[in-house]
Amino acid sequence: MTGTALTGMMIVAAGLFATGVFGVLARRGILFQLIALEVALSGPALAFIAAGAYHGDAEGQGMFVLVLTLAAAEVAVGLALFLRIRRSKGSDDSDAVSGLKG
Amino acid sequence: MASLLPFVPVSALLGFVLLALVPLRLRRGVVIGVGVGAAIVPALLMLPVGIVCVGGACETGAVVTILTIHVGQLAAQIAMSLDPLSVVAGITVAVVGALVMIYAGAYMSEEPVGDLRRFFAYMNLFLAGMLAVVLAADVLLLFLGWETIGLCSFFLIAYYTKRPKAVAAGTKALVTTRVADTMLLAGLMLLFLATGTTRFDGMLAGVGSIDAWHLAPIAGLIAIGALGKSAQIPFHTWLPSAMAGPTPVSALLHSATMVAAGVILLVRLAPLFAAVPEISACVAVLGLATAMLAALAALLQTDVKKLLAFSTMSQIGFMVLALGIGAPAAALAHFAIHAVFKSLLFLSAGIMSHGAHGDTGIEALRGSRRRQPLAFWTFAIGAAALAGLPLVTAGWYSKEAMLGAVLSSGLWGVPLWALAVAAVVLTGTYSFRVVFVAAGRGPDKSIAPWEGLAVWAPLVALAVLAVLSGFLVDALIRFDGGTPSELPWIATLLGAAAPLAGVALARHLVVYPQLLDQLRAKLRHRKVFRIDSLYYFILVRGFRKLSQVMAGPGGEQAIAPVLEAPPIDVVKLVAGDPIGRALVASATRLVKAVVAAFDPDRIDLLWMRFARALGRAWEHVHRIQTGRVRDQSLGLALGFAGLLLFAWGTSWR
Repeated sequence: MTGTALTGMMIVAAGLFATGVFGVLARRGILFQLIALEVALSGPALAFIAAGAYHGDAEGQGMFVLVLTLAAAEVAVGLALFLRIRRSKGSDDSDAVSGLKG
Repeated sequence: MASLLPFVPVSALLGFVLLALVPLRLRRGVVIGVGVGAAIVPALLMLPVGIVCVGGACETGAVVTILTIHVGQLAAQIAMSLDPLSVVAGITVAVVGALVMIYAGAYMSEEPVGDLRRFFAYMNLFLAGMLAVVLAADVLLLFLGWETIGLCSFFLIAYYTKRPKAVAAGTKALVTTRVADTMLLAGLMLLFLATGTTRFDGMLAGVGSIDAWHLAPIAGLIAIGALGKSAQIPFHTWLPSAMAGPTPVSALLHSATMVAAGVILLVRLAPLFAAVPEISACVAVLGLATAMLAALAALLQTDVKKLLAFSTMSQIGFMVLALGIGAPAAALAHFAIHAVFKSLLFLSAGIMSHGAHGDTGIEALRGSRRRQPLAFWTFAIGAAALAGLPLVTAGWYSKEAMLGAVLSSGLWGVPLWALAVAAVVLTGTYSFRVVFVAAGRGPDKSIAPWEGLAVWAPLVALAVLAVLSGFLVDALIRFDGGTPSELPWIATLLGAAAPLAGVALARHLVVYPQLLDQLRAKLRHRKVFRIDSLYYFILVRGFRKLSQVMAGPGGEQAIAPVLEAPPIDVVKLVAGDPIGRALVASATRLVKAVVAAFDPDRIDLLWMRFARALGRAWEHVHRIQTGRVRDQSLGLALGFAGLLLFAWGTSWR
């Protein structure tokens, strides 16, 4: 992989991450926020893969597997929370849970 | 065979995972089967390891690396070691743990299934943590296990969650050991910084190159941590109240294994303490003080579990004393023997009090010899080992080894030895007081006795071990790298006479119980016996008051205006006395001239204005605290972006 390709990959990764973060900030539905989080996580994962390929090192792929596990764990907890919130608040609007309001 | 070592705690951990996390309704038989089975496997795995070790594999001190974490230059390792200490302690913990769990399978069988599952899950987690502590070859694994057993201790003391007393006792144990654990963590971190490795062998090899001013705080902090876990003075208050847990918990955690973790740590780091004689001397004195005071306190108890708790403290005090004067091998031998006979005492006391309708008072045990002969005789064997009756019991040999090491430790050896022998006399007295009371004529209460192999097999096995393992003590000490000490015959004779004198005293006290009442009344007002309430008054109430003062009645102290002190009319107080009046008048003039200039205090005013401004700032700031997830994630993202910018800016070349 050439340096140009790496730069391109990094730009794509940054774009993915920015898209995900924008999704989390802009959406109100919890499910969509979770999906956006997944998109955001895939950005750094792509960056790891690209950097690993550039340096010819397998640790990049190792980190990717770690990110995958992390994402799965996060979704498991997130979906459980989503179900609880649906049940207790009666809506999937994330603004409905504002118990931390100052 | 050394590669078998990392698998020893695994089955207990699996048992915990299975019982705690599998979302299926398990039947009672399955819960007991899984809980007990998972606890027996470590003992079966430890035996071949022990055989290989005795066969000579331990000489090389093999270390099995489980995981290596590379962080920059440093390689942190999680490893287990195959050396005499880990094998002796590991076999003791695994065997005693397995026997206690077999007994627990019968003892707890009438609990509701949910509670039973919780119980076995925690017990298995505890066993895994304890095995990690004794087998660890590095600080990381040791501390992980250390915290695990502390947490399990809390959960198991507070097992009867419906009893506020049990929950309070658990909290007390957790908080007290937490203070000590923090010290331990600090000490271990300092040791790590000084030596640059997390492995014990590397740390101990590096001890020589640390200068004395660094070594003393390191050893002191680690010693405090170990003493806290082992319930030694000044941390001894948590152990007696920890008896609120079920009897198998007291037998496994709060007598045989967990409270001895401090001893294991001190043995493991013995070369470190040998390099700091001042700290070792303090440790020895604290151990001896605990041994004596706890023995005296045990004599005054009316509850058999409390008595056994104090005796545990006292026996561990002996071990700490031996460690302080530099005889880790003798301490380790006594650890193994003590674990056997103390768990035996708890288990048989549990059966006897079951026969007395669940009453744990000593008087309630009267007549147990008729009602439950086997439980009584196993208790008597345990008590004989605890007292250290000469020649026939294991306790005598290990105690004699420790006393011998104390006597031959130099100038201060003789007075220390004399005090320790006095504690041995008391040990004989308090242990045999229970035996004599239980042997007495009592009401023939009929209650369905426990039958079955699961109750008797552990008792008989432990009783046989408590007698026979005496012949192993010398071999154990040589195995651990110590030399059995040769005593002058007069010292041996006195050491043998001490427990017999104790037994005679116990007989006397049982015949004339009013003597004990007088002693109790006399000692009630001694400060030493009220450290518990002293701690409450100084620490707990102090903390509550402090937090109240800091927060104010409504929590608004930070923005409250300064209160003006009410003026005292001093002149009236000295009316009719010209000299006094003149003095006061000049004083008030002085106050007006000098002090008034500073009233109100400018700096204070400035400070309070700042404090009030904070309150106003809060008024504004709390509006951005909307509580909405997306706003908070925006804050999170902006904060991270700022941090990244900062990092980029500072690392710019």
